[in-house]
Amino acid sequence: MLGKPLFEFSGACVGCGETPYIRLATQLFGDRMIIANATGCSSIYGGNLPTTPYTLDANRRGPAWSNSLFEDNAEFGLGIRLALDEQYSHACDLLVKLRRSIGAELVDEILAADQSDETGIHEQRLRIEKLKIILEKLDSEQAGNLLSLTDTLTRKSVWLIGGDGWAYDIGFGGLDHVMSTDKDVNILVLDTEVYSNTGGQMSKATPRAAVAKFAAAGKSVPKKDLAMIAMAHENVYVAHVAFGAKDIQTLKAFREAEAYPGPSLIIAYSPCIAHGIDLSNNLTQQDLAVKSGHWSLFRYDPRLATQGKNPLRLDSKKPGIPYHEFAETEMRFGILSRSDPQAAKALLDQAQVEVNERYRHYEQLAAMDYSEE
Amino acid sequence: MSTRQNLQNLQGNHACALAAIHAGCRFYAGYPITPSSEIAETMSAELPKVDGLFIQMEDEIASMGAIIGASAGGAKVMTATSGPGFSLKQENLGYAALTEIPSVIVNVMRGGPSTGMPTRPAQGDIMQARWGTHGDHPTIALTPWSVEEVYAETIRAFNLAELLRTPVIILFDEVIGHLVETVDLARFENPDITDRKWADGKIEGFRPYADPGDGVPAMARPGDGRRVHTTGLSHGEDGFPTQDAELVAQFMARLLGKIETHRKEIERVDIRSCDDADVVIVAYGITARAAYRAVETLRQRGVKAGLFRPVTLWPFPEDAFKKVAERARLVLVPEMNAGQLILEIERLVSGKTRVAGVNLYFGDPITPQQIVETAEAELKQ
Repeated sequence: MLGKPLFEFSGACVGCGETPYIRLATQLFGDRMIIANATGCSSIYGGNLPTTPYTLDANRRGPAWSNSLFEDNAEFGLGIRLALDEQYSHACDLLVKLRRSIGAELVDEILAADQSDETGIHEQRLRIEKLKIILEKLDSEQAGNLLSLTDTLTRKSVWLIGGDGWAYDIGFGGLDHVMSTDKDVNILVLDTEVYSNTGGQMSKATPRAAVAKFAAAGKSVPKKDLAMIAMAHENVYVAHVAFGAKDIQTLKAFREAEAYPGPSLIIAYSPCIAHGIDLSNNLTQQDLAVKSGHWSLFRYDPRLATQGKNPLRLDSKKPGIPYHEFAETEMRFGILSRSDPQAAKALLDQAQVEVNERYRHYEQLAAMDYSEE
Repeated sequence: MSTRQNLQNLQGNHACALAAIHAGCRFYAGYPITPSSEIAETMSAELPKVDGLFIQMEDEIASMGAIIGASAGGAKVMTATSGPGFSLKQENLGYAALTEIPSVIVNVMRGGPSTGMPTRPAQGDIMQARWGTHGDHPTIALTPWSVEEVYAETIRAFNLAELLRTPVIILFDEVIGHLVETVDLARFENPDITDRKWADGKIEGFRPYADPGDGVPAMARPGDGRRVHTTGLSHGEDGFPTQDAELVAQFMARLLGKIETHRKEIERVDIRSCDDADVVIVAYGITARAAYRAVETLRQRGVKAGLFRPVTLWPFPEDAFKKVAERARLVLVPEMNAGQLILEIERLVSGKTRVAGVNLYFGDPITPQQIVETAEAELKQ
């Protein structure tokens, strides 16, 4: 990855599993990103003012970042998207009204611009520079109004970022609501499978058998499958990624999610100190999580269904190592094996059954025939 | 009295959880939030040992909803949170007040508003505790100043909740929540415990909200055959919704009146050196400890100062305060907020005595020196 990251020197724990995903998003879309960030670890290392890890590129463009409450980030980000869309549509109206005084050719080019890739966005920015020069010379209220809106004519990439406590638990109602719209937002869930920032309490993302605060005897129920819930909306792009296991799949998912014109959800596996691991093994742990079936990799693109293709692509193989081989490398599971070996074994046996079943479920969904006969 | 001691090093939050169980709490629903999370952590470990139930909910609204349900089901219940979570609980708090469902809500106050300073102390929720929920409603709020008093007041909160069939709020700040002090638990070996008053007598014609004389109707034990209709709508004695002005007036008079008629049981104050005091310092929580040191320093310097500490913050102990304020030249109200309890103090002295605040709410506790300096400056005016 040669793109310049617009996220650097954050105050996160050394080896944090979350920050590489944010860094990647800024490398890809940082010059037009607007981030709504739920309160939690990512809001702490993301905005421990007076310093901020978000920075600018050579053209002085960079992510704009705001921190919402804990429970309302999806709604907060949706509001940002709606306001941008409204400004864009108002700017387009003014362009049409001022077509003659601006020049028909430039106006038509701006309105018809294809901004789906970097080249398209770059060209639109050049047009807008021209537009600004023209508008500055025009002496009318409408021209003045349009001048204040010209920057909204380049496509903005709106990101709703937060952890599993936000997305699976307290903010789920809002997340679900945003996924039920057709608005172009990108939702990034940094899934540490535990409330990291408040000190390691269980969330609905915590896997069965893991020990967390409030789940001292090991979590007795499986991790909620947020991706399946999102897929049930049928209009949401969904990806399950772990960059340490397959970085190319993560990269594809980020690109596809951003390009998808409706809501996109990326659930990103993020090893955390709360897992009881040496974070220098961050990548290995992700690899083990995928190999054991703890974390499957897949992408669901609703557009494929309309082309007669199966929207779900399974990007990881069948569980290839026993679940306990992954679990025993992490203290969150291992601690129970020491304090209550019998309970630990029973929970891990059950977890093994569940990861097998979950993979089989995905496999069958991904094999369904979508062609019209 | 036994001379045997049972000394324990306890953090305020731990003491709160242990006292709750001691008082009979058997159901806790919560959601993690700094600086209160240790209460939930202790409850999750300790409740199962006494056949109690701990449940983590998806947010603070749900936690409050769950304890109300569990209390309606017959259990003594508690939840704990901090300012932002306390805001989320407010609608349910109003429901519990109107439906008269006993419950205990702890708010370990941190810097606000919003996420504010999660690990720093504040006293910014004094008025939220009184007026946070909608409509006119009874409020009881207790505010301990030491770990031992957290223990004592938590037990008392449960007793008052059961005695008066009402939610009771325990307010303390982050310093008290995380302060570790030695507590002699032998003092609490056989505390007075108030259990719920259950309806007995005839099942037929049972009127669940009829005033038995003290303003607090006995609750019907779930499933005992008595007909009960629980609703957040205004209701008459039979529990059914009504908009009849006379019935609503009767109901509201009883709902608000039960607090007034039980002030003796509810109010607790700690008055120190106020008999001859020219300067009365009104303070609560950790600020009261600074204020007490300020009283000693002022006395050494020849200023007759005293401390009035409302352990019961709401309803405010009006009569006790008026008595000490009568002869004072100055009433000083230090608090870690921009001036909340001072509004109540100003109302009570009605302009007869000079009132001044010491308002520091920037993340650090108020020091005795800051209170002394303000007192001396005010006295010169």
